[in-house]
Amino acid sequence: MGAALGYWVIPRDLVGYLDTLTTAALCVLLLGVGIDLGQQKEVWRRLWKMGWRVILVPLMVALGSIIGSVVVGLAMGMPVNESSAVGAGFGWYSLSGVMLAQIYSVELGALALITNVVRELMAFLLIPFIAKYIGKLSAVAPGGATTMDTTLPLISRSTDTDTAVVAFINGSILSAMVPLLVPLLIKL
Amino acid sequence: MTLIIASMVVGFIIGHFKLLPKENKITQRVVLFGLIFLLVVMGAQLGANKELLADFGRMGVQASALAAGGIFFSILLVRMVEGYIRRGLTENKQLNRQKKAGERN
Repeated sequence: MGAALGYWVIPRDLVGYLDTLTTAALCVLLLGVGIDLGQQKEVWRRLWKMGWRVILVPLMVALGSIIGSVVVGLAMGMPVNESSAVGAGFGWYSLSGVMLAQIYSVELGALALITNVVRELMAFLLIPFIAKYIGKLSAVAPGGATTMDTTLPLISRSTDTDTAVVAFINGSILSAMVPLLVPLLIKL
Repeated sequence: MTLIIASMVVGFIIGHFKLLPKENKITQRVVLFGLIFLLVVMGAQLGANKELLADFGRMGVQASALAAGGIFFSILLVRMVEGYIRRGLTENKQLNRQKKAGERN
């Protein structure tokens, strides 16, 4: 809808004036994301019950996502700050896309959006196979931040109760990291 | 960038210390409408950029490669620590069971 508006309806000069409005909208949006994350005390309770080793899962997923994007990005001639910021979307395509479009460029925002949509789609296809042939905890990795919502039912069906709880913790922690890491990495 | 991170930190403090009334659905609506608004604006900016639209095919290939790279390394690193985490989960379960048994006695 937005692309159609930009292509046919909105005059090109007017698009430039949207900047202040979108910055304000992004701040309000992140205030909302922050409130949502701050209210999630269930994550800490579950983490406490399962032991702190569980925190290694989101840390490895975050590190792997960023390293993977940087390696592929370097092979394609992309600057490290751009590829790492795209990788730090961890599958949360809407937020990483709009953040990069706002603070860096619309082109990179679009790339982050498509990359993270593709990541979520690949996760849906890969999770059952990884759970069966590689390892149940490894099946949490492809979903990234989506393991607390959209990919959680599939993880739960493909693995066990413990892994489903780890997946929820993983998604919550990665979701909290996206709004912090994306702007930090793009400024590298 | 400072403003963006500060907004999230302020939000986290509000949420963590329950500074809003209980059962508040406003935040979820703010996040949803904020995302929709910003995605429409991003779409408008993309639609107005004819060169970028012409380059969408190349962008799709680049996006698929980046996504595959991120997934591959995530699985690799999690697989490396999977055994260590599993042992921790088992030990923790045994410890919780012993604690419960101790409380009963």
